Amino acid sequence: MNVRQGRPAGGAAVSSPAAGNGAGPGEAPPPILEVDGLHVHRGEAHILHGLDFHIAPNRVTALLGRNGVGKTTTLLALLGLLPSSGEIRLEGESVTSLSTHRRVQRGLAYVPEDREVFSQLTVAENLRLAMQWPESADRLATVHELFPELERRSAQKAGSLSGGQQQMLALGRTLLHPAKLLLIDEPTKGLAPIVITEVVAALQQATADSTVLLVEQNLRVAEALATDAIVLDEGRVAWSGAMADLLADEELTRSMLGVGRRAGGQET
Amino acid sequence: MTFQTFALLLVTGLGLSGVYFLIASGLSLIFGLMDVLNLAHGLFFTAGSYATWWVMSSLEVVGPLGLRFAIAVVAGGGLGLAMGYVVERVFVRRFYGDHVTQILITLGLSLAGVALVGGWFTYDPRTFPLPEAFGNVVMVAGARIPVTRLLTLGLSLVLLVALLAFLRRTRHGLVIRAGVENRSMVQAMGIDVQKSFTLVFAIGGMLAAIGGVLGAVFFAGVTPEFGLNILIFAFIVVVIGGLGSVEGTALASVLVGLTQQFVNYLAGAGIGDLTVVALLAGTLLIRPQGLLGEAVR
Repeated sequence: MNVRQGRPAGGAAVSSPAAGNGAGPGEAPPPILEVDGLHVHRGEAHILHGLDFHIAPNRVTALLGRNGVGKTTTLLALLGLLPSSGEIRLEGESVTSLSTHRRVQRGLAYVPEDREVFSQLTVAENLRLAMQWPESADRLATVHELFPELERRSAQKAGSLSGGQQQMLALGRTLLHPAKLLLIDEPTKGLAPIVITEVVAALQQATADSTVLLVEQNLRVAEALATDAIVLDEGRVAWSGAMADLLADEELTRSMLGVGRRAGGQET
Repeated sequence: MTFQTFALLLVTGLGLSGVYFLIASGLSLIFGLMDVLNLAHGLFFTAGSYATWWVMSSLEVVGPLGLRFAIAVVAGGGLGLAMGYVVERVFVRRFYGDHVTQILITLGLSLAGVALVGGWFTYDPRTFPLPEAFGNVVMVAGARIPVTRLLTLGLSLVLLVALLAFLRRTRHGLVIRAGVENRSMVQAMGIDVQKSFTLVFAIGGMLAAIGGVLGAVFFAGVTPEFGLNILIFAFIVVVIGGLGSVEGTALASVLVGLTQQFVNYLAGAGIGDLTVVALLAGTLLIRPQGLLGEAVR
């Protein structure tokens, strides 16, 4: 598959080395994350076929593509929760051989698909579990400001929260970590439309000035949050560039939403 | 059945429940957190019981038997703690996720342990002197209750409260509770869950060994197969209570201990054990996740 390259927004926020993309030296800050030749197998299936991409700092990058192309697998591989081959560098240093908790200690943070809050622990305990960084105490006040519901429900079991509240808890506990790169997987999945609006507003506030790699199926949500986009298809980077460029290109957008149709409309 | 008999069976059953709880709680946490079916857990129990036998029989230099018993509890618990640590670090750590190898290794350790203890101390049952007070009975509402039953029950309750306090009030406990629910997510929060694995193995070993100390007193003697025999009931307790749930383990221990005592008395020796197996089957059919366990999603 050819890698298609969009016009980088704001100077190569996202780049695909395979396409030779990127701003010239000195024009852009060094990437937070560099991924080279990332392969993942799950059982017999070869899910990721050598992903190459970079993530620029202080930008929200959407990782898009139809179901099953390997978006969640990419995040899990970056975290070390799935075995992978290839090279992953965080701020220029390889984290490929590190265990999951070491990668997180180096600066990755993760908001999983389906929230995965600890349902038997209270809201306060879920947050206390994440209070392990020197900055966490100060950040807790910010989290409570962002999500006052969490403070009001601190003694409630997390499993009894609504989907939206669980999402806020999942995001809140991640924000206690002074992370270099937030990996957020489908934050609006399974939520009611009105709750999606709330969650998106909270995410916009919470991720301002943060570097985020966002997996999102809902294109409107991705548009509201992301400045840049990477589109995966068949386990490879099919396109990368500015989110606005992607949305402005109707064919590209249709291609992304249309389960990888070729020009002739035939499904791949 | 007279009230006196009922009270005696009740306290004896609860004392037995205490022994079951001590061996089963560590087993449950180990399985809940690490997915390890530790067939060597009975070895910790046997170690505690033989430590008691040795301290009570041979450590005459210490003096009074009451003090010796206190030393037996500490020594047995310490021995179990050390054994749990070593078993996790040396034997189990390399094989997380490899269930077949785990079973083979822990089963091998268990059988080797029985052979080692049998070879060293012979397979003859060993008895030992107990403090004079342990032979007394206490009158409860007209029923004569042996002190050993109350001791087993009381010490088990103290350890239950201590374990719950550890799990609910400390950061290590918080990590363990979260890990039982979702180990990957704990790692994804930057927490080294491996440290908790070792800690849980060591605590589980300590509790099982103290269970062995109390079991030796409760059953008035020890044999090399002691731990292996009781491990079967511990597994039943763990499954009925719910994997990884300490509260469920406590509840199931009471259910199993009382059922055995009352049914054995009312229906004849051995029927109680069969009834417990029926309870296990019923639980698996009606509520496979156990009384207080979480359903697997």
